[in-house]
Amino acid sequence: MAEATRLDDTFATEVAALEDGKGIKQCLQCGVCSSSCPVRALLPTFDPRRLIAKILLGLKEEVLASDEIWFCARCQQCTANCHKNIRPGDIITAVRTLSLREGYRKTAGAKHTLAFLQDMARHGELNEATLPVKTLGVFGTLKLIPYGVQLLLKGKVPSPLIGSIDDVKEVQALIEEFDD
Amino acid sequence: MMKYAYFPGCAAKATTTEADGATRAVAKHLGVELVEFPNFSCCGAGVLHEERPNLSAAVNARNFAIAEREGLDIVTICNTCQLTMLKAKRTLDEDQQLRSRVNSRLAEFNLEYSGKTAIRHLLWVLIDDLGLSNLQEKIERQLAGLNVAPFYGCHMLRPKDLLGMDDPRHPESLERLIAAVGATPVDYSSKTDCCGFHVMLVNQDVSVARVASAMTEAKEHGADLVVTPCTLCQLTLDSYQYRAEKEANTDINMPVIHLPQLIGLALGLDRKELGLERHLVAVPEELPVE
Repeated sequence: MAEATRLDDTFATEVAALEDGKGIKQCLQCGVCSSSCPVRALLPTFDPRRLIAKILLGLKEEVLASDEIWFCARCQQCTANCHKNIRPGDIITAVRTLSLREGYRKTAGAKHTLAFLQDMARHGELNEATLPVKTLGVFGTLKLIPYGVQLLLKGKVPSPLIGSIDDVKEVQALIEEFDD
Repeated sequence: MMKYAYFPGCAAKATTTEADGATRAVAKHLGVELVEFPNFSCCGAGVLHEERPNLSAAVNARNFAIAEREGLDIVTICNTCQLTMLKAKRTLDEDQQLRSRVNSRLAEFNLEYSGKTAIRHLLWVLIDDLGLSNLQEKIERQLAGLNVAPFYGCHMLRPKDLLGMDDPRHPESLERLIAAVGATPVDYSSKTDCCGFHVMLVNQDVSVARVASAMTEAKEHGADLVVTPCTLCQLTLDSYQYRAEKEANTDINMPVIHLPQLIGLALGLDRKELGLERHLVAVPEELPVE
């Protein structure tokens, strides 16, 4: 017999405690989010309604460790169409926040998000040139090269050697102060 | 004179630099002053918000306060910058506790966020602040006969409670602009769809499929080119189109231009100044204009 899955009945409350996740307990599981989701239309394993069901059920580890929470394209169709106005897109954002806080940092999506703060801390803005490597690793980025050549020819691959914004110390002070 | 704090966004600063050049050229021609702030930080694109929501509000508050000190509203040419800034603004305006926490740090830099600075997108500056009739007075070259498919981009339309300028299901602002420059708007259902930019690294197949279906539909509806107000949509629709064509073994060949490039063409600006040579899907030198 398979090992019993651990349920954490405080998980939904943790999600609801974040501003982005506050609507979760009002979900009726109607499925409008999933039926309007362009990612789900192409990738049936990504399913906002099921994701919310898993949170309500307390499948904390499964949800927070998953790749799928990073597959949302942030198109806001679910939020635009939700009859209960629970903002499923924001709930996915809240789950991403919790996932990073719990230390799940190995997926490409998590790495991509972590790269933003690193760049902000160093430059005050993004280093667009290094974002693919930080997200996908060297091997993943090599696979993009056939397409990158097209960008290169048009002068659209930026230099990784970027400077910093003026007064970047102000941004660094905010990063130090706001760890939440 | 109309004057704004200019927030091009990281994409236009690094990759889609033609959007930045075209915006500056068009603004100059229309008598709109864009003030640069080399101390503006990135807005965090909603991604920084995922890791630290309050930090995202704080760095945006700093940018707003910098513009506010000069008495200026912010104008951006990136949809995601627009939505990210509007979301941060709402948080700061509703959460008094967070706002005073942010302001006590900003005070050390001689800055204060009071909420006076509005966040505008170039699209709304053209339609509401400048006005289409004022724009039409400056047109040198009516783009009659050119079939232009609008591609709005998600963060121009949704969620409505934050953006609220256009009907998210049946928007018409881009159609009005296209018509104002003498071109013909092409109607097709993908115009309000997602381009896939925000998963273009993490979920590449989805982005490629989004690009393929939207650009194929625009083509089937007779578009000569697509115009978008978002630098991120343009980057995706243009740069992943080659890949979409290769993977589906099909030919789409749909040029995708930035909103300021369309306006610039109608103002009679130079093709090179508008950066129309910088697109991966070539924008034909001879456009089918009557």
